[in-house]
Amino acid sequence: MRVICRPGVLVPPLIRAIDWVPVSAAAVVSLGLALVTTPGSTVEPANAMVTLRMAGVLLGAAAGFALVDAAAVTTAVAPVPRWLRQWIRTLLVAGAAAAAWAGTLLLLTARLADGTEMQTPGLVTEAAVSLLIGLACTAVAVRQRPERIAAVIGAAALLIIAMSTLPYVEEVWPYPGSPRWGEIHRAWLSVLPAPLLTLAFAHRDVAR
Amino acid sequence: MSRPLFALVVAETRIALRSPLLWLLTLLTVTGRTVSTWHEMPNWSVEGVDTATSALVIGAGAMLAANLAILRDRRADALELTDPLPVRAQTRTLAVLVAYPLVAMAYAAVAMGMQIAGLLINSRPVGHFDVRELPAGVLPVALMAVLGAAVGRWIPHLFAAPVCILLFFWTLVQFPQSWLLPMVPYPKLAIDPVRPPAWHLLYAAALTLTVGTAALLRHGSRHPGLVLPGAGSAAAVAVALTLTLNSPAAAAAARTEDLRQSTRSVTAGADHCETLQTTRYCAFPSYAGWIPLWRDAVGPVVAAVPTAFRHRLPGITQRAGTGTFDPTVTSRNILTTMSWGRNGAERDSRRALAAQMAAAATGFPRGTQRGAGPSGCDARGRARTVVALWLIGQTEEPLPATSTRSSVRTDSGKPTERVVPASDLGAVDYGPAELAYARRLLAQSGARERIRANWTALTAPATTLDEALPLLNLNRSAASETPKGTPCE
Repeated sequence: MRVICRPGVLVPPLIRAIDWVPVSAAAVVSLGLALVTTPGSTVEPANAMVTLRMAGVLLGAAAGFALVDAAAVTTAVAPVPRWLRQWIRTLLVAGAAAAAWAGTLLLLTARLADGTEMQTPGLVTEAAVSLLIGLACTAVAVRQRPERIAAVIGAAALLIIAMSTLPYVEEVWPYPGSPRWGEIHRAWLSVLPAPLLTLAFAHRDVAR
Repeated sequence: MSRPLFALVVAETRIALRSPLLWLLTLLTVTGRTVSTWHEMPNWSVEGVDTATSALVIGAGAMLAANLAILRDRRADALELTDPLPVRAQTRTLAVLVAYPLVAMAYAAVAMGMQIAGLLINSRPVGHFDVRELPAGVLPVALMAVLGAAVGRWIPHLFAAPVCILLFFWTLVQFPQSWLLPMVPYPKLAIDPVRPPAWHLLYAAALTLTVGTAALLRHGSRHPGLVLPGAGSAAAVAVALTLTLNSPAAAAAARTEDLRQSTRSVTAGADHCETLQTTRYCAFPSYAGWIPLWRDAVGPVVAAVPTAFRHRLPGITQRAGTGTFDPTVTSRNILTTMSWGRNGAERDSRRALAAQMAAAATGFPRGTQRGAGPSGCDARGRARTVVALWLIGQTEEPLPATSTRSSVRTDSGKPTERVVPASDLGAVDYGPAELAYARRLLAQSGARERIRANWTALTAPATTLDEALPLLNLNRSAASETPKGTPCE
C-alpha cells in the first residue's frame, strides 16, 4: 500500500476539522486586552510588553486544541501518515495564532507613547517560543490520550512552565531597556529547537 | 448537610487532594520562592506579602482543577447518565464549591508555612510581620477555585478557564495597586507602603460567596434558598468595598508618593541612628535589626585604624533604591542598601561594606565618587592599596579586581566598549602583587602594630610599594605591574 502524500488535498478538510473556537477566543481576548491596556491614554512599553507576553502564552495554550483529532482512532489506519496530518494542523493553527499576535502587536505599537519604541525582535522570539512550547506540550499529550482533555493538559503544562519562571521574572522576561535584553533573548533563541524537536517526535505515527 | 451532598464532598475532596494541578504547583511555588530568596536576608514587611502573593499560583491551579471537576458533567455521555439521577446538578456544583476551595486553601497554607520556615533559616529578619497577610494570601485562592467552578457552569467550554486565569493575572499586573483586586501585591521600590485594612479581607470573602452563589444559580434560579444568600453576599461585597476604599488607610496610600518619580534623597527616612564604637549607623526604622550585622562587618576595619585617625572615618547610612544623592550625606557617609546576604551570600555583603570603609580609611575615592573620572583609577604599586586590602582582610578575605564592560557612544556616534575597573574598593584597579602582599600581611604577626606605627606614611598617596616594604617588614616577592590606567589621587 503506497502511503499517500499530497498535502494540498488535505488542507481544506483539515481546516474544517480543526476546532477554531479556542484560537478565535484567544485572538479576541488578546486584541481586547491591547485596546484596554491603560485605557484612555497612550501605552508605555512596559505595559504593552505585559499584554504581548500574556497574549503569546494564551495563544500557545489555545493552539493546542487544533492538534486534537476526535476521529484519531479511525484516521490512524488511513494511508495518510499521521505526521503529515499533524504538521498541517500545526502549521495552520500556528499561522492563525501568529496573525492574531501580530494584530495585537500592531495595535499596541499604534497606541505607543511618543518617544518610546517597542523592541519587536525580542518579543517575537518570546511569542514564537511560547506558541511552540504550547503546541509541543499538547502534541505529547495527544499521543497518549487523543481526546479534547489532552489540549487542556497541554495548556496546563504551558501555564505551569510559564508560572515556574515567575520567581526569576527579571531574568526570563526582561523589562524594556534592560541591559541584558540581547543576552536573554539569545538564550530564548537557543531554546527554540527544543519544542520543534518535541513536535517532530510527537507527531509521528502512534505505535500500536 | 444531606447525605448525598456529604458523600459527594468527601469524594471531590479525595480527587482534589490528588490533583497534580494542586500539589505540583504547590511544590513549584515553594521550591521557586525558597531558591530565589535563599541568598537574601528577609524583611517581613515585604516577604509576608510576597509569600501571600505567591499563593496565587496555587490559586490558578485550583481554578483549572475546579473547572475540570465541574466540566466532568459534560464529558462524552455524562449528561445522559447524570440527568435521570435524583442528585441534581446543583448538588454536584455545591460539592465542588465546598471541596475545592478547602483543599486549595489547605495547600496554600502549607506552601506559605514552608516558605516562612525557609526564610527563617540562618536569617536575622527585620520588618514587621502582619498576621493579616496570612488570610489575605489564602482567601484569594478560595476565590479562584470558586471562580473556576462558576466559569465551568456558565461557559461550559474547556478553554474558558485558561482565558480566565490569564485575565486574572493580567489585571493583577496592569493594576497592581488597585484595592479592588482580591489580593494587593507588594509595590516595587516602596518602603513600608500602606497596606489595605481588614475590610479588604471581608471583601475577598464576600466576593467568594457571591461568585459561589452565581455558580449555583445556573441550574436553579427558582430556588428561594439561594436568592437570599446571594443578595446578602453581594450586599456584603458592596459594603466591604466601600469601607475599604473610604478607610483612613486608603487616604494614606493615596498620599504616598511614587518612589519611581521621586525627587527625594535616597537616604530620606533613614532616621533610626545608633553610634557604636565611634561609628554612626543610620537605618530605615524597619531595618534597624541589621545594624549589628553592619557593625560586625565594619567594626574590625575601624578597630584596625589608629585611634587618632578614627574621627575622620565616615558613618554608615542606608539608602533606598531610587532617588537623588544629597552631597552633604554622601560626603560623610557610606551608603548601604536595603539588602543583605544569607546562607553564604552574607560574606559578599560583609566584604563590600568593609571594603568601602577600608577605602575611606586609606583615602581612596569610594562609592559614588569616581576619583579619576568615569574610567576609574589604578592603584598598582602604591602602599595604601596593600593597607586597604589588609583592612578588608580583617573582616573577609580580599578578592582580585575585575572590570565591567559597558557600551558607550562616543562623540562621533559610534558605540565603543569601555572597560572600567571594578573591585571591592570601587572603580579602583589593583594587581595580584598587591593582593599577595596583603595576604602575607594578614598571616604575619605584628603587622597591626607596624601599620599603626607608620600609618601616615603608608596611607599617603605618593608612597610606593617599594618604599613601604621595609616599614612592613616584608621581603620583595613579586614586582607589581605597571599601572594600566590613571593613578588614583
